[in-house]
Amino acid sequence: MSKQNKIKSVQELEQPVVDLSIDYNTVDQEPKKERPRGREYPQSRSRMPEKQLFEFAEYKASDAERTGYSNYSYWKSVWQNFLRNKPAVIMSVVFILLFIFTFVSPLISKYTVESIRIDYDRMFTSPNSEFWFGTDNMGRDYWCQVWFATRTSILLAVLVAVGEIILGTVIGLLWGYVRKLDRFFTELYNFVNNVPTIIYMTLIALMVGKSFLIMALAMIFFNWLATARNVRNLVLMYRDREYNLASRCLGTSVGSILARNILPYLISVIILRLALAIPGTIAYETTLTYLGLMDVSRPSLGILLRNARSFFLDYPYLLVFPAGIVSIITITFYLVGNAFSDACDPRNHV
Amino acid sequence: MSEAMKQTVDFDARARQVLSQVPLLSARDVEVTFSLRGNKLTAIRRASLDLYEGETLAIVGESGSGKSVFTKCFVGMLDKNGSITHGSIQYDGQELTQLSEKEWLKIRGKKIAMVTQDPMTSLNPLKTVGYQIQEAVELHQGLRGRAAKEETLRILEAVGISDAARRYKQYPHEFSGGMRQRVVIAIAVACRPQILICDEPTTALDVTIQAQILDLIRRLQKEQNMTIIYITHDLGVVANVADRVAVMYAGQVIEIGMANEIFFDPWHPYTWALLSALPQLGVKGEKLPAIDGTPPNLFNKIQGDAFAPRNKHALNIDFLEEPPMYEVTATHQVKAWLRDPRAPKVDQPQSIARLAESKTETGTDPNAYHPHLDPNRETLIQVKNMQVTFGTGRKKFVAVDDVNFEIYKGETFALVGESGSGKTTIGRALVRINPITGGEVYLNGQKINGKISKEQDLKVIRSCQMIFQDPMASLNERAKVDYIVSEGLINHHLYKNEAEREEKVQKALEEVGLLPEFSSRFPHEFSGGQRQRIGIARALIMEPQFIVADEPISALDVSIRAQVLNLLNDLKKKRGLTYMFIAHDLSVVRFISDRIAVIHKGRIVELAEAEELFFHPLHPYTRALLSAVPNPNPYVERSKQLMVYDPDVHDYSVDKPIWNEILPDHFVYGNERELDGYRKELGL
Amino acid sequence: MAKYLLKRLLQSVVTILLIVSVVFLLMRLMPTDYYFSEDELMKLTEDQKQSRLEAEGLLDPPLVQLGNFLVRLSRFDLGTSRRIQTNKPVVDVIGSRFGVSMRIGLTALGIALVIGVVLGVLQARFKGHAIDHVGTGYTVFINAVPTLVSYSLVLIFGARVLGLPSLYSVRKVQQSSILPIACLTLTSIAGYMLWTRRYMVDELNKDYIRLAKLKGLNDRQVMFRHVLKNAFVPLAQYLPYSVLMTVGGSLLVEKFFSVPGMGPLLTDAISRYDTNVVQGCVLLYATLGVVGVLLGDLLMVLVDPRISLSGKGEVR
Repeated sequence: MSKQNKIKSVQELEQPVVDLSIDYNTVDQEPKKERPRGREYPQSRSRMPEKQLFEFAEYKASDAERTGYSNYSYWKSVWQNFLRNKPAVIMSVVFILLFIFTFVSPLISKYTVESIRIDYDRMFTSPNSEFWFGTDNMGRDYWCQVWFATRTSILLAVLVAVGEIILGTVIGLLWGYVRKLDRFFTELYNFVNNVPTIIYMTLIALMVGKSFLIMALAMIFFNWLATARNVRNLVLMYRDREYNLASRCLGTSVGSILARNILPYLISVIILRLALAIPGTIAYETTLTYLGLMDVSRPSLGILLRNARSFFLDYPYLLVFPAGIVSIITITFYLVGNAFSDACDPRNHV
Repeated sequence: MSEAMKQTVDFDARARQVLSQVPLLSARDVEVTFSLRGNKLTAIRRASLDLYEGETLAIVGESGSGKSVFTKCFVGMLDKNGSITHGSIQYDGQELTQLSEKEWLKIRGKKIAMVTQDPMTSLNPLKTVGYQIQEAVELHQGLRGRAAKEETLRILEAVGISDAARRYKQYPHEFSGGMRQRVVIAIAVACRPQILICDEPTTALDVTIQAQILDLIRRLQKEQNMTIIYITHDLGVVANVADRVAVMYAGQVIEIGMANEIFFDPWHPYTWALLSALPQLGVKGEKLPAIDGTPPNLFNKIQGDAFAPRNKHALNIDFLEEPPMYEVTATHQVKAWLRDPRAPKVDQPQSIARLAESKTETGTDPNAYHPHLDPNRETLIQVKNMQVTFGTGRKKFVAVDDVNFEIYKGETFALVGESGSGKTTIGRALVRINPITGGEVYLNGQKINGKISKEQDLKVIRSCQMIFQDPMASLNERAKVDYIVSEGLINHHLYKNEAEREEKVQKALEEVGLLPEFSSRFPHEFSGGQRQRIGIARALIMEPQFIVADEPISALDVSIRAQVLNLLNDLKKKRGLTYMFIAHDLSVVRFISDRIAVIHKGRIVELAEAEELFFHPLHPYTRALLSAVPNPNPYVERSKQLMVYDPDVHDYSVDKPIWNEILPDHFVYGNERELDGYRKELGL
Repeated sequence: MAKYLLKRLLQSVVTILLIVSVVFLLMRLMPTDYYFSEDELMKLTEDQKQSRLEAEGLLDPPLVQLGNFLVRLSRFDLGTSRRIQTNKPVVDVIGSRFGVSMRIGLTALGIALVIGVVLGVLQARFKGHAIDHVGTGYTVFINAVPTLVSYSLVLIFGARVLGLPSLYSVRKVQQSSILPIACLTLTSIAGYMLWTRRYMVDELNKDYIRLAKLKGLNDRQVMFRHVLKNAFVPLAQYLPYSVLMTVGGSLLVEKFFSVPGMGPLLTDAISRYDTNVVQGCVLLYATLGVVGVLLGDLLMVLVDPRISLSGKGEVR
């Protein structure tokens, strides 16, 4: 077989391959040690004469080790991806301002929830300079009620959401990892889940009490199931991955495996569920309030919406203010949750 | 190499054929870019390729070399975020890069069809196999109703699925992996394409099945006069199928030529390195010539020759300027500065010569030390009648049954079998991840299964460690390398203070060839080979006597495998380790192990010293397995006689089989009648 | 097959009985006064009350009472209502309410299922186009915002702009059913859209779709022959449950529009301590729920050839 060398284009040979017009003297001025075979190196090479170009380069294994190195960081990518989701970012800012305002508003408003009183002469006053959001059916200032209720609802939602996520995660981890507990939790899950929870909630409200605390606990108690099941299914997915087998092989305890090998993988899901649990809880609270299963002594958005039901066809502002605020809050968390879960998906990472 | 062997394929005739033709498909300077959330990845960097009618062109490359992406351009199936940003692809008078989706429908399937990689997910699980094939028949052959069904049945039989009428009505989940791949091929063939692109069609399959599928594709090619592009990373497969070979690296075709030219007279240092790293060309006990490092990150701009940083023959200019294509022969081009007249003369590495001389069997060093031959050999692990079952009641499944073997101190004991044979189960049972349901396991003469004392337990944990198959899955992505490596130390407080722990971690990292500074990084910053070494460091830090290596290189790229094999051998020498090496690839096993056990369906059927097993295989399953081993010499590979193992050859109804030591250290599973036959063969 | 069915049925019955028993025992914690109607409470003396309670076995230990209750239950005797409609059999009380709920629920469900699935399919088909964005906006709004707010919006629009009755009325059944049905429909459409789209998109990303395209099928053929049925499979499991629960009536809608259906009956019964009616309602809901889950699993077997009836994980 003939092995003649034929250059594809003769021109390539005749043209100087590199720009040789650089002062060669500078080459030697660079101390040899500080010449890594990385990106900077070619520049120094570009000053080489052609003859040297076709000499063997020095080979370093540690340079080869650095090829293909990536400086990817999971959480940094998550954060960058999240920031690219403009609606979610804008809504988060709006929500934060709104939440801060619930604390500021009592300082600037003319009435406070503690000081308002029933005055039928002023009922259904449309919003004006005295009553910024008008008055309700009993002539009370609506502005201070709305902001107080917003704060109450957010706090309740956060309390319940955090509670159910913690409980759900802990139970889900055990449910998924400890094979012996699987049967028990599965049966419990089916038992509770086969009947609309509203039945249980009604029973509790009427037989135990409707106070803020009791209902918050009841919500936590019935809402953890969904999180737990979700976590459990994920744990099943990760439980027999090779890195967990490796840990078992090294004698790592179940607790450490759950905390260090499995939980970190669930964080994105947990945050998503937390973000979605907040609008969920707010919606649930309005429903329960509307059905008369919540204590009404402390204004919440649910209570305002419920009171508005009989009058808003004639006085729409009674609906507009609480409904608008509740929509902003719930949509924010919904968008943020979804944006975050998208951002967590490694397939969306670069 | 015998002349008879050379007759199996006449590459010169094929080369003449190629030179006399106009290309059927011609890709020129194709550039493909993907945009990933604002970042640009250039997956194909101006690659060119000609395809000639009737040939089989193999495209070889590692993952990320762009071989798959390149061929996806030929069927208009790039992912949505990717686009052809430069170059042209001419086929049948059409410019493929400019086609609309509607125009593609006239080509895709009809003229260019594709067989995809993973048969387990490529079929619609809810439609019968018959429906899915018939769909293609109706679409491309214009047949309807009964005629279409008959044609479908004919194709099913043609791809080697017996009992076609019954199989026609079955769903994909009722088919094994190999059978599903036959169905996927049937679908492609039913389109009656001119060009068939096979994208790693056998990567997910066992070697014996792989050999059958390759035969099938070759037969269908002849019957239907198809032109085939075969994408693979496996040089053995290339040797089997290819007329011409294109080697891809970092999005470019760096060398292309007739198969004999690429295997026996390659000129790109990357091709040299790929071939030299094959364990078939290595010498037992010596280091394999490994390629350091990993392929470049294509998000970064690449200057010069992409292979330069890993190239031991790199010239200074390689770091500066991309080399042009040089012509070696009319059919053989290479993109390497070494072919420039100004470049210094370099000889091809020795292993290439070995390949040309057809010395494609691992060499042995006659003076090498084999622990099992030592008269004072010590038994480290003893397994007696091991049985492992999964599930209970009716769902009970016996994964491993009545397995007996001993592993001597200092040896590498290999366990070879196909997927689902129970080899991993045995490995995991030894490190006690899987509890065993019957029999006993002894370490240094002490029983380690069942209930044992706490100190004993700790001792066993420290003595027996494991290396896992998939470096991507075997490291906790959310923990730093520091924690991963020192996990065992932390569990058992095997250090006095934090400083000592850190020191131990650094030492372990250095021992596996990683930089100590890596300890503060996360696993995703590393490549597969580096991750596998982190996994080895994690096991080493416990200072074990015995390591189970569960397919430690099968998930790695070809260029990385030799690194890990060399490391394992080094550590064995330095630390006096004993390995159980689990694998499905006999060529690797031959290179690395002292003794080999062959396992089939949960039973060890044969156990012998490595060379003895290769020269005197007794059990029909061992023979079938050996006959399927791919060989990187195209002439040898194409003249090999495939044996198919049929378990029905054993009649164990009356004469019960036993585990018998037929020769010293050569065990085989069989009944008296079979054993007699084996003895006769051995001349006993 | 038959064996598996029988096992699942038995399991379902046990679950239902367990739920009913727990509720029954809970109700026994109440003061005995609630066993009388408001009228009776005023008229009867302590002694009369005692003797009535004794005669009806209401002073027996709770477990004995539970036993008696289960025996009566086996004859479908749920007792009589004491306070909601005094002395009317519970079966009749529930029956009349259930009819109202079912009519509204089924109508809404039919409309929502068709529109929701069609819109979801369109969204997936034109993923990234305007229709997808509008659809996603709608599902986000419905799923995020409390239903009470969306109902209020529907009510304002319906009553103010269209002039429809804002409360349910027995005299103008059809006209006054429109808004409750609209509320139910608009909210459940969002659910069906969301899931249909999600499952469709999931399927579209699978390997076998790539092979189907490589065969040369066009987008429409891929959609109809391969994606639709496969996307329906995960939906199938939840469908019966959601159908039965809709039929059972929506508490909030019915309360919001004062529809005399199942929803308000349950809360009324509990708040007025009408034990027999509460038990009847719980029994009904538990049965609907359990049967829904069972039907979902069976439906899966029908549509997915990979699942055989030999027993699988119970958790969905």
